[in-house]
Amino acid sequence: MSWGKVFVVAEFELIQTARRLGFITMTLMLPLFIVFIFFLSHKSATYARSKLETQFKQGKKILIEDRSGQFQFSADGPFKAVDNIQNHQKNLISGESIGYLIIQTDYLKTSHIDLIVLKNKALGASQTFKDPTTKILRQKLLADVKGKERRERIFDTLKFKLHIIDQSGEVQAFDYHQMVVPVLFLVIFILSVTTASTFLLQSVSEEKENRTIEILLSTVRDAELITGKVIGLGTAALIQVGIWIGLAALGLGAIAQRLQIPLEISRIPTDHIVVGVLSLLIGFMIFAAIMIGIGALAPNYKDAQQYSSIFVIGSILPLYVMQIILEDIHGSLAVFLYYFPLTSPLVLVTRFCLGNLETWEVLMGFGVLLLFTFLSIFLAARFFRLGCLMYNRRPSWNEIKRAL
Amino acid sequence: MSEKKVVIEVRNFSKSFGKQKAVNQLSFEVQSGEIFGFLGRNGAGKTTTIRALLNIMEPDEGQLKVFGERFHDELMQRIGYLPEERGLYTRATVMDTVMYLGRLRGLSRSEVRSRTKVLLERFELTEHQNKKIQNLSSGMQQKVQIIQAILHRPELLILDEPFRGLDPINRQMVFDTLDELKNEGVTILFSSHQIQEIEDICDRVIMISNGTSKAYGSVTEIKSQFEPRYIHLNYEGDLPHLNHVEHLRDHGNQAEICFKEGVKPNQILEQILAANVQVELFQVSRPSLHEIFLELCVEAA
Repeated sequence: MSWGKVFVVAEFELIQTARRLGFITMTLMLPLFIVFIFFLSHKSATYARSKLETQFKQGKKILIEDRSGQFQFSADGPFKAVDNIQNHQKNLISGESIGYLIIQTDYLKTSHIDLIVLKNKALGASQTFKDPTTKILRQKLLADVKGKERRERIFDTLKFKLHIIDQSGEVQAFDYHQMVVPVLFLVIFILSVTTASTFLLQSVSEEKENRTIEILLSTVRDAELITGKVIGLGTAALIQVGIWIGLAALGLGAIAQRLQIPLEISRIPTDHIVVGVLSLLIGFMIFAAIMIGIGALAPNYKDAQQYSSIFVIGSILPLYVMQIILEDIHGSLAVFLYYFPLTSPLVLVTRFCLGNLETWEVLMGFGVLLLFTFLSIFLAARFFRLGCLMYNRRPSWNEIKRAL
Repeated sequence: MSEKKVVIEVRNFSKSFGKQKAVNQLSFEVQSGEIFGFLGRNGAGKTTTIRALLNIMEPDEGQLKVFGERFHDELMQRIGYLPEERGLYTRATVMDTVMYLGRLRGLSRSEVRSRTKVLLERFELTEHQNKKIQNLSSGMQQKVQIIQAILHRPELLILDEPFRGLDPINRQMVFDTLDELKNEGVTILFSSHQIQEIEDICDRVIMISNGTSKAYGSVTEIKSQFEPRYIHLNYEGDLPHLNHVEHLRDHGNQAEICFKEGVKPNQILEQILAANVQVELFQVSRPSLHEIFLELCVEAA
C-alpha cells in the first residue's frame, strides 16, 4: 500500500467535502441538534416519571429515613419510613425499593437530603425523584408551619446529594465523571456516524455516478482509495463534530456550573476513555465499510441514501431506548443490543461505564465488534470491486453471490 | 533503427460474465512506438480486454502482460489511461481535478502545475482552469480527461474511444497530439469503433467480434488478405438485377458491389452493359477497412 497515494486521496476528499455548501450548512445546524437533544431528554424524563408512577402502583416504595425528626411519614403513598439503610440494602439492590432518601439532621438549616439509588439509575434520578419528594415534604411542612426555617423550606426547590449503591451494598457519592465518557461518546458517535457515513456514501456514489472510478482504479489500488476516503472523510467528520462539541461544551459548561456539577478532566476514569476511544474507532470502521459497500452496490446516490438510512437508524436505536437500558442495564434488551453489531458500540460504552461488567463480558463485546468489523470490511472490499464498474444498475443476487 | 519491443502481450485471454463469454482466446501484441488500433463493435470485448490489462478486472484465462510483466502497482506511473466510461468530479475545478489525478500518478504539485499549464494552453482551456467541471461543455470535459491521461508523460497510452464528443477542430487537435506523442516514442493502444479514425492513424490493428480476433496486422496486410471483389460504379440509367453478387449498395448514380468468390468482374460489367446502363466509372478494388469490418464483424455478429 502506498501511503503517499492514500494521503493524496484523503486530502482531496477532505478539501472537496469541506468546501461543500452542505458541509458548511450542516456544521451550523448545531442549534437544531441541541433542540432535538432537549426534546429527547424531555421525552426521557416523561417516560421516567410515568415509569415511577407504574412502580408506585405496583407497590414499590421510596424508602425515607428522617434523621431530622421533623416529619411523620405514614406507610401509605409512595414513601415508606425506615430507620436504617443497613436493614434495607437488599431491597434496594434487588430493585424492590426504588430509592432511598435520607433527610439529614441539619435539613431545616441546609435543605440537605441524600438520595441513594443503583448506579445504572443515577442518570436522571434527581430529576425523577424531585417532584414526588417535593410534594410530600411540602404537605408535611404546610401541616405545621411553625418556625421560620420550616416556612422557608416550603419554598425550596429540592437539590439532592446523589449517592449510588453497588451490589455489595457499598454506598458512595455519585461521581459525575462516570457519566462523562458515555454522554460524550453518545454525542460523538451519533454525530460522526451520521455525518461521516453521509460523506462516504456521497463520495463513493458520486464517483460511480460520475464514472470517475475507472480512472482512479487505473491509478490507485482499491485498498488505497478506500483507506484514503475513510481517513479524509473521517477527518472531515471529526472536524465538524469537533466544532459541534466545542459549541455544545460552551452550553454544557454553563449548565454544569449552574447545577453545581464539579467536573475535572483528570478525574474521568482512564478505562472509560480507553473503551470509549476503541469503540468509537471500531464503530466508525464498521459504518465506513457499510457505507462503502452500499455506495458501490446502489446504482445512484438517492438509492444508496435509502439503503443506508436503515443502518443509520439501527445504529442510533439505543438512543431511543436508553432509559430502558439504564433502568435494567443487565436486562435482555440491553444484552441483546450489546451483542448486536450495529448497536454494540453505543451500548458497549454505556454498559461498561455504568454497569460493572465482568471482564469476560467486555472481552466478548469487543470480540463480537471486531469480528463484525473484519466481516464488514471484507464484504465492502468485495462489493466495491463488484459494484463500482456497474453503471446505472445494481448487481443481481447471483452476481453478489459470485463476488462472495 | 532501434529494435521494436513488445509493450503489450495478450495470450489466449478469455473472460466471461455469467454465462456470456465476453472475450474468447484473444491474442495480440503491441510493439513499442506504434499506434495500435483496437477495433470492434460496442460490446465486442475491447473494454473488457483493456480492463483486464490494467488489472481492473481479473481474467478467467490467459496471460496479459504490460512491459513484459503482469500488471502491478509500479506500472501505473508508466501508463496513461482514458477509459470508455469516463467522467470527472463535476463539482471540482479543472485545476483541482488535474492536480489530484496528477499527484496520484506520482507527480509533485509543482510538476503538475507546470505541465498542466502547458497542456491547458495547448487544448485551449487556460481560461477555464478555475471553472467547475460541471460548467464545461462535453468537448471541454473530454479534453480535460485527455490531459489527465498524458499529464505524467506515460510510455504507454491506452485510449478507449478518445474522439467521442469532440468536434472536428478538437478531433484534429487530439490527432496532432497523438502524432507528436508517437514521434516522442510513446506507444498508443487506441480502441474505437470509428474505422476511419483507425485507418488514418494506426500502424497496426486488431478487429474483434464477439470476443474473438477476426483480423490482425497492418492495415495493408489485412487488406491484402482480401481478394479484389469490390466494384465502385458510377453510372446513369437503371441498374438491373445483378447475378453473382454477394451484396450491393445502390445510391442512385453510384453503387458499391461485392461479387461472389470465383466470379470475374467482367461478368458483372456484361450484365450492366446489357441493360443499356451508361457506365462512367467501373473500378475493381480490394475492400476498405470499413468494408472489411462490416464483412468480418457485423456479419459475424
